[in-house]
Amino acid sequence: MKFLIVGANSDVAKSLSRLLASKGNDLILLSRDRSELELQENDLKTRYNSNVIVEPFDILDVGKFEEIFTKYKDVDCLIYVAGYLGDNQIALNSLEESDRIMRVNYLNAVLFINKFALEFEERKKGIIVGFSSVAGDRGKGSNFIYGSAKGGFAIYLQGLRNKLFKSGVKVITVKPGFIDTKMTENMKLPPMLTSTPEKVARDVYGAISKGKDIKYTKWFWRWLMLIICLIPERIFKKLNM
Amino acid sequence: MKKTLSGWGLYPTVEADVSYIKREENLKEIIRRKNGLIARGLGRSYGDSSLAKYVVDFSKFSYFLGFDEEKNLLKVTAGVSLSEILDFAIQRGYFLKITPGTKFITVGGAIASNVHGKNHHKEGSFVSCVKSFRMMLANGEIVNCSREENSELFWYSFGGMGLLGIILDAEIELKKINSVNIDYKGIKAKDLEEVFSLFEENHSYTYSVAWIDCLKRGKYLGRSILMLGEHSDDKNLVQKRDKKLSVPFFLPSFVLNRLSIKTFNSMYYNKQIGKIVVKKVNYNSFFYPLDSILNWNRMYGKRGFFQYQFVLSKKESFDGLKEILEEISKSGYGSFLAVLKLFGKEKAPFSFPMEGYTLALDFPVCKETLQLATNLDKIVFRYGGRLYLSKDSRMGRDIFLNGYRDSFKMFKSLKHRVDPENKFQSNQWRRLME
Repeated sequence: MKFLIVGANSDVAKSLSRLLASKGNDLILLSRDRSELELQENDLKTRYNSNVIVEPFDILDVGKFEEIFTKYKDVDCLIYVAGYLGDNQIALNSLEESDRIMRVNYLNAVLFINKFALEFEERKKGIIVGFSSVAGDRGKGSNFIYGSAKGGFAIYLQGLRNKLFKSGVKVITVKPGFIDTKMTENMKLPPMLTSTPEKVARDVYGAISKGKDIKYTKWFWRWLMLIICLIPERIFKKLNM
Repeated sequence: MKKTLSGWGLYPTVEADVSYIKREENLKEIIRRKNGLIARGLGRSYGDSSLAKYVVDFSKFSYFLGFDEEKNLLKVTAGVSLSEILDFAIQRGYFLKITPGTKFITVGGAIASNVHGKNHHKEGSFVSCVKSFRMMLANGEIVNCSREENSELFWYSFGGMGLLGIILDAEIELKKINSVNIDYKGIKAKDLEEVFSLFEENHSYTYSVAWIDCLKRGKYLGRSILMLGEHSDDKNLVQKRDKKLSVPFFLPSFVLNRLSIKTFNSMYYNKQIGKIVVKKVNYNSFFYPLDSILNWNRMYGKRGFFQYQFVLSKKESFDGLKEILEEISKSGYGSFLAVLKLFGKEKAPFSFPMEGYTLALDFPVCKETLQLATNLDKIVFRYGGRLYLSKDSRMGRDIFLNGYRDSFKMFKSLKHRVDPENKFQSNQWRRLME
């Protein structure tokens, strides 16, 4: 199969690319930094003799969407991993930071995926995988701008799944909890709840092979978030989360 | 970001500022801004070698850069682990030329520690498989190091504990194999004298190491099993997925006591019934017996453990080891695993190995075992031996200086030239070398 990965330089995407390449899949990797992409290209070719194409691409660069789409619309699976955590406190006061959080995690993600969704629907085949987050399941005082964008993205993916179901196109929502990556390098994460990029990659690969709709990773986040979402708002707002 | 870090022995623990390395440019910026930093790979050195105020974490900087099939040369970034190299190499009929007893270490760490394996007497330490590496110096400059180019920096980086500069990538020579299996031969030795002569007699074996029962006294002092191996020739190159066990939490520290260790040692010795056993084993169980138990370091409880690994010159080995084993069995603090090995000559000047016998022991951290270690230090000192920096968390400066002597002077003067501001410092550096 041929996979297109957006946000390919993230730690999770790197692990996923390695896993996919090791199973003999072809990859197209899009991300901002060219030197890191070239490292990946070399790595995957050396380790797995894979067919890999890399191309620098910034999801904020809407003007390039058409070009990318035309070039790579024949892929079997689109994986949108790009994400931007940002800083909630800064974002509250900065148009630029808020804008970036909402574009990378939601707005531009939707605009980008739409094209492929229509294409896949028409050929009645294809898989779309989007990375939302457990942060999108309930708004918390500490990261609700990121959370609202991820939440919006999850609802978009949900709707898309229902629409495309009839044409046989799969849409998979991935909801990771804490992962030990560069993105979270400045956060103190609880070790018991924290996953690694390799484990997340295995979970996502499993979800693709089995055709899951929603994949929480690690698995217990599904239940944890269920409980968290059941807490009445009048109590939840008093919790310091 | 502040993180609580320790080496594999879980002792000591420090708060360190950790940054992941994404790209070389990143690193340059960090080196420019910070003073007192050290590179860290998978954190498998036991003590404080990879601990510092600022730690640059290379575990996510792991890329294969290319493979030259004609020369058997693999080029990888410093964060690539030996385990990843094996995954790549075995199916193609290659193996690591030099490997220590765990595959969960990075190439950068293997160079910094100049790790050795069961074939040291035949094939040397890690330096023998490294053709060249690139290193970022304290001033941000990147230099190529090999036997021909910047050769002093090349040689002293093996065993240099990451204190001369930060290794970015390296060219590693792999060896051809015809099988994933090892033709194994185990020979029982009833005492120290016998195991010494067995080591000599079997010198031509590529791989040799002995497990030793360090609680036996008197007549049976040093009873052991010599384990020999050669790569098999049976053309089986199919990697089995290794099943992993894990120690999910810290065992209470009383689990490993004199009685349980004594029982374990007895069972281990008596598991092999005949004097000589010959069989075929998978490379994983021969080279990496403990890698199949994830987090085995938790076995010693929350307080952690330390490894005591020393080497004595060949001339002094017998008397020295005898005295040390007597001291250990007298104390009653046996080591769960004790490993004896005869080293060959060592080429890297500032490195742990020297021609002679090395013994590695594990002890849980407590007042009594630390006292025992201090007593052992005195014996090692008297016999002119040295301790392995990658496993050390506690030796005194006098023991270190006595062990490494002139080679350390040379090392320090080189460090002074390439890192005049002491940008690169580990806690071990401050404890022993500053």
